[in-house]
Amino acid sequence: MANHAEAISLKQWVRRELFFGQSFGVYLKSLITPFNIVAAVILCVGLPIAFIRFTQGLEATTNLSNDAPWGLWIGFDVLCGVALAAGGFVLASAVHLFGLKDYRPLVRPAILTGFLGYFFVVVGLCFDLGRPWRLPYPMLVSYGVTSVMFLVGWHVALYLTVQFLEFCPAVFEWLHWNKLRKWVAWITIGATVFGVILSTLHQSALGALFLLAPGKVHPLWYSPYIPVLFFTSAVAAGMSMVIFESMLSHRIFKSRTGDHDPAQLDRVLLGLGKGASIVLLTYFGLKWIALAHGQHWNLLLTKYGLWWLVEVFGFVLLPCLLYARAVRIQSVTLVRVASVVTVLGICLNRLNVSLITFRWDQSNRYFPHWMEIAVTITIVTVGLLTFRWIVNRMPVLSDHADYQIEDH
Amino acid sequence: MRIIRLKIIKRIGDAGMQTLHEYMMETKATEYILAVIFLATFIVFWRFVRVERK
Repeated sequence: MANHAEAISLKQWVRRELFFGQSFGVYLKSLITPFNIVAAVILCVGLPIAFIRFTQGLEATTNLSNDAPWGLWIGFDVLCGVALAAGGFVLASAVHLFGLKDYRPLVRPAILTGFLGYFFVVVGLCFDLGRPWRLPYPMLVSYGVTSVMFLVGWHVALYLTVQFLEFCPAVFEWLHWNKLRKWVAWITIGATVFGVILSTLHQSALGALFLLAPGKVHPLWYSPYIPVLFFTSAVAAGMSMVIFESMLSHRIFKSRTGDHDPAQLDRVLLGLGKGASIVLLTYFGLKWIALAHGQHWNLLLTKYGLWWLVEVFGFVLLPCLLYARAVRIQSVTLVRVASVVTVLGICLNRLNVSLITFRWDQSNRYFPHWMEIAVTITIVTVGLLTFRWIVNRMPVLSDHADYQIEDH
Repeated sequence: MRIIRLKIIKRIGDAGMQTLHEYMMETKATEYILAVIFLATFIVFWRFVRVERK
């Protein structure tokens, strides 16, 4: 905290920046809200389960087995988490690489969502893998260069670092660390380019994981094109998540949004909706080409086939058309509705691939243990609390008054 | 058109295929047809969503 902080003592700074200028007691009292009470109950249930998982293993807390080694923590926490976190690289590349400066107000929230999304993906992964102290093994101790897991591990680690660097300007503005802020602003373009490369590889590598299980994933969802399908759908999910998150942020954190022009924000959301509709149409086309490649037309009239049609028409084509209609009639509300359907649809796709149709030929199917569901809800809750804590303090939804914006 | 049809019939015969369905399965023609339909739809869709801002 350079010259700015020299003027005030650390105690004053803590009181102003961390407790919103209130005393610690008043701040604690202000925390008693309905949302916080629900969050506290969730944490009271989830944290002891986390303790049980790390002390007694997977058997005590999950329904996982040798036949179903990947459960809800991989299917939802990792696969859905990564797809929904794609908004960071989509928005960062749009603004920093393609020069679409109109979208700049959404970049920081998108990067923060992406960073926290990836961070809690790693937390979820730790629950599944256990022994978190072994996380650095693929980087430092035991290389497995022929494994897709090695690729995924490196990508997550590097991309998490890149997203942290991309978000650092907001942290340093908050701390008034001017020199460091200038330095990270200077490397923004390089970090964005590196982030786009890593995201492209990483989103598709998660799909590539399922190339290892051709007999286990249902033929309608399995395809050699699955890495391309994962990447394309992640772009749509990322854009939709940014729209969805901006809708919530501008209601919940109204006091933090600054003097954004609502008309400008609407234009930006309509632009994102247009992009998302085009990406969703591409994804829809690729799904059918992948089906044709596998020549599984005969499976379309089975139980799983009808489910596949529900996913493709109800959660890919429908939001695509909703977005297109919204752009035609300039309706931001319809764009928001379409974003919710898209987010649900991409989550459904990831759950279909990893859980619902995984080992579809077995009679004894996996269903998550209630403790698995509780841990997932706990991770999402902690993610929301962290997001709120950061947004309430750092310049995320609006620019810091002391800093010029256009210098990176 | 006649030359193309003859070529297809010759190829079906060479590969021991009996029907157009078998030919399409063998050559993955469905994928190409779908790709062309997709491209045409994409162009129409692109024009549909390209509206001027109010």
